[in-house]
Amino acid sequence: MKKVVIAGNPNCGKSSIFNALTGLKQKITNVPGTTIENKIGHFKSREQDIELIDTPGTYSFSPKSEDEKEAVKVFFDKMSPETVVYVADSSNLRRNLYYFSQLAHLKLPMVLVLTMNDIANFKGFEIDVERLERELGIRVVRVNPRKGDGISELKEIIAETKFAPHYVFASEDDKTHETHYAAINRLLNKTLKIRSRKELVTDKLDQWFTHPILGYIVFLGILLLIFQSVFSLAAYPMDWIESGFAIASEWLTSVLPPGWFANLVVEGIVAGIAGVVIFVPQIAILFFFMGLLEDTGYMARVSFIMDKLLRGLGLSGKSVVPLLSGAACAIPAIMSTRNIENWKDRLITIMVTPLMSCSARLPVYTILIAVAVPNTLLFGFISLQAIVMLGMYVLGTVAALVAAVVFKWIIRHDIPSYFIMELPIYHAPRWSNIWMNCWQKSLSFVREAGKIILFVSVVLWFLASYGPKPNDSFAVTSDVSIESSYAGYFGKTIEPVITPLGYDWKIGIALITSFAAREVFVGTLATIYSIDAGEDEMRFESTLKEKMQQDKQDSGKPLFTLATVLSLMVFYAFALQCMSTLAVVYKETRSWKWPSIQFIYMTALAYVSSLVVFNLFG
Amino acid sequence: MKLTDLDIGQIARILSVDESPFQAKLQEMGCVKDVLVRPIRKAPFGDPVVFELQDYTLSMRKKEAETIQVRPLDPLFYS
Repeated sequence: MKKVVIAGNPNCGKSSIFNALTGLKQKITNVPGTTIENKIGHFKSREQDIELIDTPGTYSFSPKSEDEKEAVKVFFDKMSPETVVYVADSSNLRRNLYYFSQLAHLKLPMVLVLTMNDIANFKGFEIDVERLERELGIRVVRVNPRKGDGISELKEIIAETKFAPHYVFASEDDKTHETHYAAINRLLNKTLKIRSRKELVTDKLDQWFTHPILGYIVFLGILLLIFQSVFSLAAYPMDWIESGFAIASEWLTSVLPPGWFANLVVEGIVAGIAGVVIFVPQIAILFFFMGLLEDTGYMARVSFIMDKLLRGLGLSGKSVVPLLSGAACAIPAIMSTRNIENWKDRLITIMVTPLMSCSARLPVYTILIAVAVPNTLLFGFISLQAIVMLGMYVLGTVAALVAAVVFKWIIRHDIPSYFIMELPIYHAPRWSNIWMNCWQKSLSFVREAGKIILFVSVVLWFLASYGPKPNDSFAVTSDVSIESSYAGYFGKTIEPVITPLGYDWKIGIALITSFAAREVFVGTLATIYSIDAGEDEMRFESTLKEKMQQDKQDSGKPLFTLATVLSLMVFYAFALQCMSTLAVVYKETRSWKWPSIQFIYMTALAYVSSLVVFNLFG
Repeated sequence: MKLTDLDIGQIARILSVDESPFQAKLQEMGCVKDVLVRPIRKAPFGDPVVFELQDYTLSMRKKEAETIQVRPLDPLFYS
């Protein structure tokens, strides 16, 4: 099998070429113990099996950020690639050839693929491809992945090529950046003619998108539109998933012999899987929109207009994508910090991203708001419940920004951050890239969060279904109510700690079980009030709401007062009740130091804030 | 003269890039001697700034642009 690497700058159309060559036959491989991820695909050409490895876009052979390190690492593997397919944006050939000029020194057979030929044409660039082939000594091919032009030709060339570039970009004792660029200029003087210059649509769009006032209004408008569509669109598949799992549980209960095994399968494993899958629609839809904004080039403009504001807070313009992704799920969000070059900027972004309100908090907020906030309209048309929900999102965002400022003062780091970023030309969306990105981000959630949620779900099922036998605390019995189960004991044990926040042992159990994933809160309360989860959703929610509203403290006062509910919501907004997030932060920072600090600061913040809120409203 | 001293639309030739932790990054992105550069737009609050060079657009903060020494071209050449 021939091992071929595809390389190039960011935004050069590399992923489109990769998708066009391999179709949907690709997978992400995880190098164990690291964050390195390479996309690998296969295709056949001239009777040869070809393994194509995609790498993240990079500007040079001396990587600056984590994802650029991944891109370059493939050339130092034990099995180094046999051929390099270099993708270059022909409307921006000078800068695109810089990384090419460095790779040319590896003396590996190379193919140069020219993309964005329509834009180059529009800009008045005329590239003499045959001359370029003669000068470089390798095959050069124009490709339009959107129309499929040049793809089959490229496949054949990849199978056949065995020539390394013979053009001399630099010598052993003179290989400065200037030398490389001077050599590129000499090459392009012979092969590139510029006829005329037209104003690109990009310039006109940027007058709006980076306008001092309109720029922010447009961004805010786009955000509102996205969140509106995420909530309204995701509701349908989430309903299907819920009813699907309800049917599956019912079926399993009827088929399996009653006993501990049936309980384990239905209440532990199936409930755990359901808890993961239910979030996929929201996460996928949000990442679809994020991918759309990134692919078209708009996201770079958002980074550009937000940089000055975020810099003051210890973040950078590049923190925008992770922070917004945090509204879906912190796991892919934290993984997307890899393109932030500066370690301190990246670390602060990682530390504060879990404060953004992720989708798992939504069901918790929904039930709590339904319990304590009256369904009235403000000024006759704004729902008070909706305002409180929006407030929770704002609260999370503000907390993330404030935490960033604090970390900015605490973390010592001498290397100053910089923001040197290309503003790519606007593109029509390349749908294959966007779908791939959406699929892979959702998959990373299912994989990273899935296994942990499943594991914790099974452990919690055991703790909630079993308890010590009366009079013999070392024996285990399944004949217990939740109150006398192990979970019940834990809830009672932590009760003194959480009483100041307005919680009792029942809420304590829900807090503990939420460490699998926050939304388990809802299911746990349902178990405690012994509501049948098999009922249809509307009935389930209203029954749970009623039971919660009717629940009394020992003193006879209601348990879920406004003060307790607000205190709980603030606790869920701030506490890091997500094992999967901790696992990902460990992987990305390669130490337990940062996840520990993150867990402690967020839990402390949650505890103190809830205490304050409870006493303010109590 | 520094890159930050140019007016929007004014074309200049790069003379040198000062030593800094991001010198290599700037050079890789095409900020090398003799390249023509032109500021085209400022972000809200005046920072960062977008420049046109090497047939593409590159944004950088003022702090980074200050390390690039330039000589403006005579406007007669390009107007």
